[in-house]
Amino acid sequence: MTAAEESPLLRVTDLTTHFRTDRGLMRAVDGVSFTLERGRTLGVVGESGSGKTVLSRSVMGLLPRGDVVRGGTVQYAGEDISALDEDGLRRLWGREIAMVFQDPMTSLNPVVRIGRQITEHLRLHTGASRADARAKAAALLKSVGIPEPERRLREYPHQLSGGMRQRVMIAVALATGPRLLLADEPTTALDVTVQAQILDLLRAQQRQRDMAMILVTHDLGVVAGRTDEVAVMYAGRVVERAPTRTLFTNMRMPYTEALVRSIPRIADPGHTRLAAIPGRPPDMTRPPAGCRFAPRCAYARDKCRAEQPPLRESGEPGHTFACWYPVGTPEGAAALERNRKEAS
Amino acid sequence: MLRLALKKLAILVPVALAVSVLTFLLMNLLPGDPAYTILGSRATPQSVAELTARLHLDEPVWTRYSSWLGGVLTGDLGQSYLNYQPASSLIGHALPVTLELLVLSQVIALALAVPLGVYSARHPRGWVDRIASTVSFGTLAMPPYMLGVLLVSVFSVGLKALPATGFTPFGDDPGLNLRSMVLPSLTLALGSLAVYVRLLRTEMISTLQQDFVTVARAKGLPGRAVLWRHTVRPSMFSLVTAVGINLGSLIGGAFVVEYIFALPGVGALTLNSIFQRDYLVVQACVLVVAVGYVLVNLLVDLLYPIIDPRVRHV
Ligand SMILES: Nc1ncnc2c1ncn2[C@@H]1O[C@H](COP(=O)(O)OP(=O)(O)O)[C@@H](O)[C@H]1O
Ligand SMILES: [Mg+2]
Repeated sequence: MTAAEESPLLRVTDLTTHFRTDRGLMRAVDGVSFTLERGRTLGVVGESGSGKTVLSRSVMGLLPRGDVVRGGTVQYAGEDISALDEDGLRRLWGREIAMVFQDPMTSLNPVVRIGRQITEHLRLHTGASRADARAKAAALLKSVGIPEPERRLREYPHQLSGGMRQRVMIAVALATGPRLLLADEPTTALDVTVQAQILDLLRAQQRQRDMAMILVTHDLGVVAGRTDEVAVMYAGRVVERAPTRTLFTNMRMPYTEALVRSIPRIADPGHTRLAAIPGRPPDMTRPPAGCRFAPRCAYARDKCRAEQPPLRESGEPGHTFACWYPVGTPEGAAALERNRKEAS
Repeated sequence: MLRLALKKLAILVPVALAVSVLTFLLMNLLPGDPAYTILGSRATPQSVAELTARLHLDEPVWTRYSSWLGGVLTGDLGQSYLNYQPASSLIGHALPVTLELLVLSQVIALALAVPLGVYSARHPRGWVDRIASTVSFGTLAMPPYMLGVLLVSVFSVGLKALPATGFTPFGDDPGLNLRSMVLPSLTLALGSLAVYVRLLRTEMISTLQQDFVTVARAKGLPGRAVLWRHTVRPSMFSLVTAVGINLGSLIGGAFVVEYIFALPGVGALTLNSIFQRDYLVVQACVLVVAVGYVLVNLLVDLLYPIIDPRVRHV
């Protein structure tokens, strides 16, 4: 085995992405580390604004040009790609690392035929002839569940429904056989009935191709049963990370607990109102001094407001979290109890 | 598609009728009598009366209009009172000049606007953007004849690089023809340029925010494919619309430019005929311009589906 094959497919170390804005430095991603092995899936979950999109784009190096301060490293197959310029990254984009975006209605160029949008990078990266690329595109469309692929190839995006367009976007991403797929809220813009289909399609394709995937979502329900591991993000940081099953059975972060409570239960029609988390995420140009979740947390004590908790091991394999009074521990229960008493 | 084209073409009939009636009435309201103008110093009451009768100028307006219309319907646009040349042959000589002027001006305007707009959008508030917008507003504020005079004083009088006036038909000497058309076309082009650059710049800046541009980058496409296929092409709608709408006012501008640079186009022909009360030639010119205007708009309508597939399938 060479060094590149031994190292994990993706190793992100202390990644930060800050934007210089009129209101000050916006800490969109603030010290995130994780690794992802080949063929594995990681769910990244957090409320809107927690930095999930910026994180996935930072991993890819696909940030807007301009007032961005970047820190930390991203190693892809052993190579530090965070130092590459756009020309260097272009070698990986679309070929090794692909992305499915949130809104299929705006992800396709309205004036270019579907066929061209699937084959343009396919031909660029594989050197396939026009006819070969077309045949491959048709096969891809078929594999993502689009009937009459030959006809669809000649159509324009506006002739397709939202669900169909997201299938096309998945075909676009899969076209070159990438080893890492970043799916940024791939179903948020779709009807509930279509969501499950698209998620299952992604999962099936990921397994078939032995491709690693980062599935970004604000809905913990989406990653349940669909990813190997989950990282919970809050205010630009990972606050808990665990194998998916462990996270659901043994969560430690009060924020994770609150997210679990807010999962919509379709099976439970009489009770579909979510227990939304009270309050709003902090303004990341002025993050709170201690734990960033403390202002909204039912467990928070003075220590939480003063000192930022570090990520620590729970004892179970692969489970880390950042909390002073964790859920399911005597300290946590005591903190919650005292807060209740003080409130009444 | 064909149905749409035919429907648009049908508009020609009411437009042509309305325009010709209006011109007929307006020309009659103008002070001055063609008979006097034609006879000039030779005018005596008797000769004026004779000529008036011969030209049917003593008949009521509507009689003259209907006999003119009858002529038009049989393909006869009438003839000049002054030199008895058929109006159709006068226009036949003048029209190519005007068309060349219009086409060249738009080619120049677009050839300048596209790179300027694209560059300004990619580097907003950069120095190209600033200079382009300052110069743009300058040309917007300046009427075309002033621009023309300015260009003449720089290129003809100052640099002595290009002729200020005079015209060589394209058939006689293409090189000389183009040289004589440069300044007039540029004058006309500069008037449109400002608007075109602004429109393209604005639409491109909003396209650059679109997800599909990021998708194109994420595919690893080379910068020029991201730029032209995925940014410029989807940003052309307002520009094409503007060119279409602008052509109407451009015809007015062309008239002025032809007059300044002494180009023998339809504009010069129309203006001269108005001054000389050569009613039937004016009438023919206006009719040709109106028909041309409708045809150009039809052409633009037919162009839309080519650049915007969303229009193709409604
Ligand atoms: N280009 C940018 N400039 C300044 N702030 C940005 C930029 N992009 C994102 N942000 C901010 O970073 C934070 C995280 O955004 P994002 O990653 O889109 O959140 P999420 O995807 O989790 O909803 C948000 O507060 C957002 O306003
Ligand atoms: Mg997002």
